[in-house]
Amino acid sequence: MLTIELAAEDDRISRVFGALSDPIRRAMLARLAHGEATVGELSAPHAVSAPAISRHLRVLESAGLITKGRTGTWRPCRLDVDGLRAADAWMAPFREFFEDRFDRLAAQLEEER
Amino acid sequence: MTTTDRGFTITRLLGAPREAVWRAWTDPAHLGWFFNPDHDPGADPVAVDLRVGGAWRQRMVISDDTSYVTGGVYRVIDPPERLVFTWGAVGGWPELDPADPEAAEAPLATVLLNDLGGRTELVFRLEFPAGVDTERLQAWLARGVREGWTDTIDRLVVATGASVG
Repeated sequence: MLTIELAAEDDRISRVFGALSDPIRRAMLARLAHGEATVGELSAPHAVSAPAISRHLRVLESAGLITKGRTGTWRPCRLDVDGLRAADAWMAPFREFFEDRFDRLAAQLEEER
Repeated sequence: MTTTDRGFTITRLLGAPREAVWRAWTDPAHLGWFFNPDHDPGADPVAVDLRVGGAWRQRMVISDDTSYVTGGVYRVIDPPERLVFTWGAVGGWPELDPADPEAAEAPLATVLLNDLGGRTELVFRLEFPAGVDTERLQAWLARGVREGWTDTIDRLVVATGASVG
């Protein structure tokens, strides 16, 4: 069951890690962690061209890490919490498996005393 | 701590001396805690071959007609402090390749037991060395993204009140 879930998540996780492999994109995510921002605000700290900034944003968007507002001229970018969670979520069942067991390990050690 | 993989760490404070915790990890008679909660520990024997390359196998019963074998293949045995094993079982879950039970793709578990004078800090780490896309992962890790990303996740957890893996 887990194996199937892992396979289904493979593509998405690859995109996420690919997106995270670039320092500018990571800086953008760090900025967005503090709240939504415009493309101008996101590009300001970086000495790269506007097309390069657009490319970075597209990579982040296709990885499901950010969303862009669709209305008006002010189109803020914001973190897509679900995207980041999906990247980490595939590991959660493994963690729960061991968390459960360590609860019982603690109980067993109590009984043995 | 580690530079080549992804994984997670669970830390627990246990009210027992380190030797007792070591025994709970490595003595078949003391591995009852690893079974599923409603499993009769007497129903299936636990096999432990405590040497490097040796296997620990334990059958996990989910229901009357569903069960699987889990356990590990030992890689480092340093009592009563450190135990490293490839997590899984040949023919079990996670599936280990019988020809190569120490395959780089298998999840690697590290158990560290820190002596706190009658109590023990258990630091358990599970690593997924190959992950999903090794090349990207390596590039990502080489640039030190791990810390940054963890911080981001932490902030998100705070922001959303959600628990993230």
